[in-house]
Amino acid sequence: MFIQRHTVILFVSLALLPIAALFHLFSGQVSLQLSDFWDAWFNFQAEDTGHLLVREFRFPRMIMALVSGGALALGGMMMQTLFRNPLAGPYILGLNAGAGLAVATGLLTGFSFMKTDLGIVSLALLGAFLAGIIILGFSTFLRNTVSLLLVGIMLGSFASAITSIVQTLSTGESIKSLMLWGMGSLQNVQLEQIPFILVLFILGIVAAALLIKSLNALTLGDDVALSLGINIRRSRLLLIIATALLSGLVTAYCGPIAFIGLAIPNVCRILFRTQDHLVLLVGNLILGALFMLVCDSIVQLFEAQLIIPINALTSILGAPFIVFIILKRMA
Amino acid sequence: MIRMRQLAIGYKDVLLYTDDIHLERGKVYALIGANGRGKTTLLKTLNGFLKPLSGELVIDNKRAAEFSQSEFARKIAFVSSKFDGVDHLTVYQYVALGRTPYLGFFGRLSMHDHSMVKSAIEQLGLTDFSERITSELSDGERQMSSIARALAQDCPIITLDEPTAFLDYKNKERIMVILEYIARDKNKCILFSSHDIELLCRKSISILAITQGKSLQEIVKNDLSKLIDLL
Repeated sequence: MFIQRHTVILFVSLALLPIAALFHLFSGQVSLQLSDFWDAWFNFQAEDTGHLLVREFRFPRMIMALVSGGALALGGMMMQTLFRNPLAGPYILGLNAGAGLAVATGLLTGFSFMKTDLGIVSLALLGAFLAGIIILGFSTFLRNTVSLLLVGIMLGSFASAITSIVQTLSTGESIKSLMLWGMGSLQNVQLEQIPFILVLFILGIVAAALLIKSLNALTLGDDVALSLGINIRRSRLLLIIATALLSGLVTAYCGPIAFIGLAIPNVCRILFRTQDHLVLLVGNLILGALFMLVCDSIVQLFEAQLIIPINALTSILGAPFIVFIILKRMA
Repeated sequence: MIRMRQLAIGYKDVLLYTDDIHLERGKVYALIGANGRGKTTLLKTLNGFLKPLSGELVIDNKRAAEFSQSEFARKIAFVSSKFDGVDHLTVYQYVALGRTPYLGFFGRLSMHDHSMVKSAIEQLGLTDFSERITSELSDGERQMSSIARALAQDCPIITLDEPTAFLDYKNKERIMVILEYIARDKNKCILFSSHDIELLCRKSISILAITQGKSLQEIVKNDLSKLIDLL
């Protein structure tokens, strides 16, 4: 039987995923044995630093790399199809900045609920959702795709500016945590938070999966999608909610991470050569996670010499690629 | 198939009123009228994108007001005037999107869906193009693909918004031949808007005109000069 190109690529990248995950686990400063990883779960001794390191740092960080990469890439895919714009993404449209503003404001208020996991995530979701709704509002009368991106960038700068003002109002302790959070990092997640994060991540994937048919039809434009029986208003709203969930989740726990949501969906479309969003959904999840694991492994490998913020690394790798996409489209 | 009774059409203000008009299966109707008189608005209303302001619209013996979005999608297909193509979307995948109203959330095609897609592609003579990317086709090939997509949608009615506007004469002719064939052999009701006088003179085509008095009427085309006035 004829095996389709995208099936092969999906299987290859899926096979690379555990390799990258293992590499990531081993790429920290302190070198660990394979037995440490096994024993940390099945023969745990609280006084063994290797075991603690695995449970408290390496494992949560690896999961977070998987989740953040997959979530941002998937969010980017949905935004690009929704706005029919290959340069759209949760970061460039200001969703991450909206989430950031909401979290910073919430932390400043000092309510203890705002400092709990549920509080922070709810705030991030709300912020990302509101930013998404504002962009959606603009998109109804901004037909020009470039203008929409510019509005998104302005919205993002606006939210970041207010966030930095909010930061100056906060006290010493929270300034430091906000500053660190603003640089983006995968290492602030604790083991106990992982189940909650995974539940939200899976919820976001399920929401996206239920929108596959709508996403496929939306590539043809609003009128044709309508005539194919797609409820455009509802689909748009659900797409914004799903993207807000995925990018808000990442922003809440890792801070802003740029370019993954922009670059990976484009890589997927080029690599898989399809507009079938079932293939693209799976592809974005895998390649997003893979890319993030590689980036964060690099961060870990250099950690002894210098601390590279993950956001800086994804930008350094992602920005030239986006320029390449733009040049290719112009040509 | 489509019955309009004193239908008032427009966004907030009435753009046009219809006479009692009945569109039948097996026939091709051309919708003419100067720009801004409401051709596209009428098509949008028939497709359920827009609610009529007053009057009665009956499609296939059922009041359109009672239709859900997905019912509209199974009754009436829509082809927009220009499809620019989508990167990485092949003709086959594009035509397959016509099956959307019949698919589940994940958009998977059944054997039956695949055979509908293949037959639509064959009927429009696109078999050799089926693996080509839609953004790399000529305007004529893309328009043919769009009609194949509408055909795969398996609706008794197909509406087309100025399907020939961006085509050269040879392709305009081809589109007309195809539309006549679909109406006749597939027993469908076809309505397209147009400014192309040379196409309207074809024997098989009935004409609906939006007059200066903002009314939609079926007209007899014995007087060519009168027709030109309306375009």
